Amino acid sequence: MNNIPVRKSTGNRLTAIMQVHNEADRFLEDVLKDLSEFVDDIVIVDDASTDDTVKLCRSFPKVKKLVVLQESKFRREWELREYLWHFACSSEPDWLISVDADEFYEDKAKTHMRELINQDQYDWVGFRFFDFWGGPTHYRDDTHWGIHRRHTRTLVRYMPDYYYYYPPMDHHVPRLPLSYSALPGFLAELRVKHFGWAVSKEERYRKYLRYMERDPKGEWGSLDHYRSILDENPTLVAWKEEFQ
Amino acid sequence: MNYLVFGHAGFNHDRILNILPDKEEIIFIRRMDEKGAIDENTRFLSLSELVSLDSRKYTAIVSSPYGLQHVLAFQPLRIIACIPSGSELENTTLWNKYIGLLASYSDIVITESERTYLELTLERDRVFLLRDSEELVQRAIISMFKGEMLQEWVTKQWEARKQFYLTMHEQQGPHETICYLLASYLYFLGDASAKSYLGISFEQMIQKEYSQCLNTHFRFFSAIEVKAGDLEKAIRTYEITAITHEERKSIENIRSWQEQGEWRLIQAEIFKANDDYRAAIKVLEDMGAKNSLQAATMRLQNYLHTFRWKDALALLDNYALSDENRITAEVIRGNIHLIHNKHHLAIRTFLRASVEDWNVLANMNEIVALEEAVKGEFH
Repeated sequence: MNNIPVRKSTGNRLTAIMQVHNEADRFLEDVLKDLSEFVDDIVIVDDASTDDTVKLCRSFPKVKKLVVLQESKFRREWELREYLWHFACSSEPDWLISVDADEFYEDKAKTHMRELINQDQYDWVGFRFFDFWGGPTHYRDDTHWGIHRRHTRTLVRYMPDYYYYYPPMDHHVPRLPLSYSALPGFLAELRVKHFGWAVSKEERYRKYLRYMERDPKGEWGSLDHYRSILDENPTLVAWKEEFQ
Repeated sequence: MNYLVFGHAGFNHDRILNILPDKEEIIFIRRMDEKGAIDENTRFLSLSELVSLDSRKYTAIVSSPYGLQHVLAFQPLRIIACIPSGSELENTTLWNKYIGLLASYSDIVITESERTYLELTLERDRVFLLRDSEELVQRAIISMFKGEMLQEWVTKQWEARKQFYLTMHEQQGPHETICYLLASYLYFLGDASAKSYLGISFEQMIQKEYSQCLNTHFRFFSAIEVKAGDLEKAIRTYEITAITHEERKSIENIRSWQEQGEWRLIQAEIFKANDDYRAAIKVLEDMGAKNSLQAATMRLQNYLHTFRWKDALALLDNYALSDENRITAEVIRGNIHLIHNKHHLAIRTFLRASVEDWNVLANMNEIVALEEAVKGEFH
């Protein structure tokens, strides 16, 4: 009879999970390099990329599992999230960290990562995410850009017998099963740099157009938020690295 | 058939009186300031006038838990407990204790509140809901008078409630409360489909951001797994919900029993963790002669929690007692004297036990509180 505790406090492996789509010319290579420093393996679902994303992923030894979808599930985000989850969990990981192809954990977070997973008191960890704006030196901090003021759950313990549930939504689906909210968690004062907006003005404008095309009535998000992408003078704050 | 009503304002007595079989005489135990009879078959008596009645000719209808000591002293033919909804004005500890004792000493337990019905069903047998089911409850009462087993009627009511919520679910779609209640009745009936409705309920709770549902909802899967016979899965499921020090201690015990092959103890522990004391007690009682000291200790805890004091005392008398359990036995004896209206014996027993543990004296305060509560109800 299996007598292994459901919460191990030592020897836990950390698996990063990612969904990617045409990321070859953006931050993917740097993200995979960064992840390779502090996770044990990486599981990726490629959502029908047409560039060299898959080739790039395969070039990293820690990418242990990679599935390539022939048809994009982008417009059925719930299915894509759930697919990645089941694909990653099929090898019974200990802890999973959900990473987007433009997110970087600060050094301090990477240093503490093993402490965060080798304990038996909580089952998820929330981090503070910062939206970098126009480059890697400043993040945006104003009315519509304050994700860093709360925590985002990205690191979770996998327990095979728990009930995992994604709400069936087409957009803004939580990146990890919503049912983690019932489990004990830890809100870490550790930071993650999100570089999705750390791009040129022209690229941000293209993203704005994509948002408006996908959600013209603001059903999945706030129209004011979308419009604020075009703000001429957003409030930017200089990022300061913290060590230990 | 004659009935003696120890009433409480929180229970609709007309509803129960309407379904009592073969009514001849109905007597209400009244407060001094209450008015006299309302019709020729109904009259009012004060507590002091009870001695004039032949107790074996009367069935007591008891909705006032504080009337219990007079009911037991009177020794009626049968006791029908009609559990009212708790009043905000009541002393909660005293109220819950005497509601528990009343249910324990009754031949049948009836309530109008589904919440109370479910709570009591998790603790004991012979519990009925007097809502949309007057005929069924009436037939159960008739069976009780004939001395028949009541489980058939209990099961019929679970079936009826299941059907009611199944219809609601079909009409309204996923809803956390409807699916939870549906899962509860399916669980009582031993139907494995309880799991899928509990799943829907859990999803709805999560989606509506009622995230404090790990113990109330997710843990319930462990009890369903025990009933379905998958004990390993039940243990792992329960372990996910074991967060506090006490819960982790419980898991340690379970893991140790797992190594010793003590499956019944594990079943009982998981049922208890799900507040299903009735199922836990049944498992432990079914162990019969195989009852280890551990099993007896667990039975004792469950008996005490559900106010089955006679069973607790019998168990304590059969086992070599530790000092702690010996004092517990004395406290139970004192309380049993108290609820049989033998106050002097109760006081003497408490005083004797207090020599070894002064905390027992708290029971003396309770005597005063109980007397005040009885005065409020009947004097």
